[in-house]
Amino acid sequence: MIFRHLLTASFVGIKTHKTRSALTILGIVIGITSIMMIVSIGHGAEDLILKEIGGMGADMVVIRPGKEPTGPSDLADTLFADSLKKSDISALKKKSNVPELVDIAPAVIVTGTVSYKGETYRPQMFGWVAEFMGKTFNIYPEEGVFFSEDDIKRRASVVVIGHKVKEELFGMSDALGKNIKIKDRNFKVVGVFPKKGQVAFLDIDEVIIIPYTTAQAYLLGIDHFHEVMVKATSADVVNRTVQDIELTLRGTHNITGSEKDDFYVVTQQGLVDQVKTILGILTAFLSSVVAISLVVAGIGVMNIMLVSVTERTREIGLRKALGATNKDISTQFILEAVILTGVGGLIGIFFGAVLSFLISVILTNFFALDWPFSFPLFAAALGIGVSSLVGLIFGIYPAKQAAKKSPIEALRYE
Amino acid sequence: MALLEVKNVEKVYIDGEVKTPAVKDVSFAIERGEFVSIMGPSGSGKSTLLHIIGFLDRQTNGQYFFDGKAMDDYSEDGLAHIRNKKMGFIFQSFNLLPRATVLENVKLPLLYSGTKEDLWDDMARKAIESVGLSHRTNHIAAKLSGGEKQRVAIARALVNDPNVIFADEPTGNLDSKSGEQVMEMIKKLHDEGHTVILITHETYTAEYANRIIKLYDGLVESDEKVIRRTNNGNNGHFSK
Repeated sequence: MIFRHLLTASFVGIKTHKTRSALTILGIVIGITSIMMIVSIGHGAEDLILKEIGGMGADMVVIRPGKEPTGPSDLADTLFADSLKKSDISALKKKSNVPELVDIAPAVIVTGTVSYKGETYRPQMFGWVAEFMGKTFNIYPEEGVFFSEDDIKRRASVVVIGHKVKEELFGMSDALGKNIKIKDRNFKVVGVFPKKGQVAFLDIDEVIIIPYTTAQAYLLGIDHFHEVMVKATSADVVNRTVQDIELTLRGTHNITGSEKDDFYVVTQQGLVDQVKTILGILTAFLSSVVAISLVVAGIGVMNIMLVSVTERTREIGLRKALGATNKDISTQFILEAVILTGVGGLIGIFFGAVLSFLISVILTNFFALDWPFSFPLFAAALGIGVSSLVGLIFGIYPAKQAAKKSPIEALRYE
Repeated sequence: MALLEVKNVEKVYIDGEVKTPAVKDVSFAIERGEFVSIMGPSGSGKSTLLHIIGFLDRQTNGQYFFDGKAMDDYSEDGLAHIRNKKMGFIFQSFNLLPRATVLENVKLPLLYSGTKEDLWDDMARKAIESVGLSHRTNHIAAKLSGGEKQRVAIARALVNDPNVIFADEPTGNLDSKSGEQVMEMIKKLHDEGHTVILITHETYTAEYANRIIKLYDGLVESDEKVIRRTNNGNNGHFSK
């Protein structure tokens, strides 16, 4: 077919000026490499974050006090809001209010340092229901036990500590049964978590879990909660459970409409959607920067194609004299531009894949992130598509210039 | 009916305000199977005339009929099609694709001909054989000698079996020996039944033809049959 021969002619045209062709497509290579990395790393980040969220369980619901934050400044309101109280927990526990609730755990956040015999450390401290951690994240102490329901009731001064906290305070020696100091108060270590690292936004190795009642009474002096976690019977009933929770809390808070809510409910799906939205915006932003660079690269291609058309005026004239139509000529030059950028795209895909892989290896090995390398097929298709499109768009004008040449002027050209 | 007929053809080049007439009121007809030389000094308008009758350029005034149809009735693509199927071109500077092989160069017109691709190779090889370059089939065009290049160009002109072959100063860039070879080859094409139109400013080259149209200053100065002196009347002409 004629198409194949024009393709060969285009390849010859490109091969004739290897250095020039290489420099011309450099912009395309860089642009496509960037796109590949954005897509691949974005994908990896999404996988990673979704996996972390997934660790929380699709059947989990988190209730937070205050208005649903729409910006960073609203987060402060959440921290100071005191709308979630013990009476809410009791109401939510009632089967008649939230029938699909299987477990509920209020939580408070404690800031400050912990010390043992002159060693101090600043961990992430939570007043919580320790067993809930086992149920939600499937993490149980490797030494000792969780504190019990009874410990919560009687506000016992006991803690379960993360692996790193233990190492920082006790080194190699045993931690179980020892008393550590938090805000001048002694707490007995009853359990130590195994080395787990990051799980769902939380570095398990750096946590200290205290009975929430103890934290409220002796460390914070408050009677409200910073967060309430609810486990539903299954992921399928999460939406219904959210509605039940909202109705119940509006009842206990005497709220008449949802716009007056002094609490908000977060679900895994909500988090997933949020993460996807944020990553989507980030990807779109980065892609638009790359798009600009591709336009610049495209102009470079157009420039070189115009030079090439001028240089090959004789060839164009000859082809026309031998019977090539204007369309044959423009097809040849558009093909040449598309092949040029397409090859750039292929190289870009290769570099993009290699660099993304290296980054995932570096993040995994040096930053202890379980960063998955993913190079979605659609990214490769996108790379080929975008690069060819650049060639097509920026090849049209030079090709038209080529086709416009009259055969005798072209043959006369020296 | 004449293969091509030129009627009061004029060509005026316009560059801004300046009008330069290159061909002024030229008329003649060429029959199928003729071998015609168009002669004239440089500036006589012979190349311009060839461009018009070779469908490479359009006349300003007058009419040109090829195969009974007026050039004005053809679209640009129509002209390209006729150039491809019914005309063959041989240029002074060969105009081969320098980096392509002999075979690829000869195939070039087939690319635009709509001929089935299966046939291309045979057609091209046959044309190469007819100019005696089979041993060079896969050589790169740029590495051939001048004479060989022009023979490749002849093979290329032949490959679509055209009605008429236009040769524009085909020996202009060749030494006398190669020039003679090339002219013998063109003469052979005529002997085999092709119509040949040759442009030249050299009398001894022009005399290979049966008829010479002499142009001077854009007008036909003379249009005469060539009278052969001897059987090998052209021998020795190239030794200047």
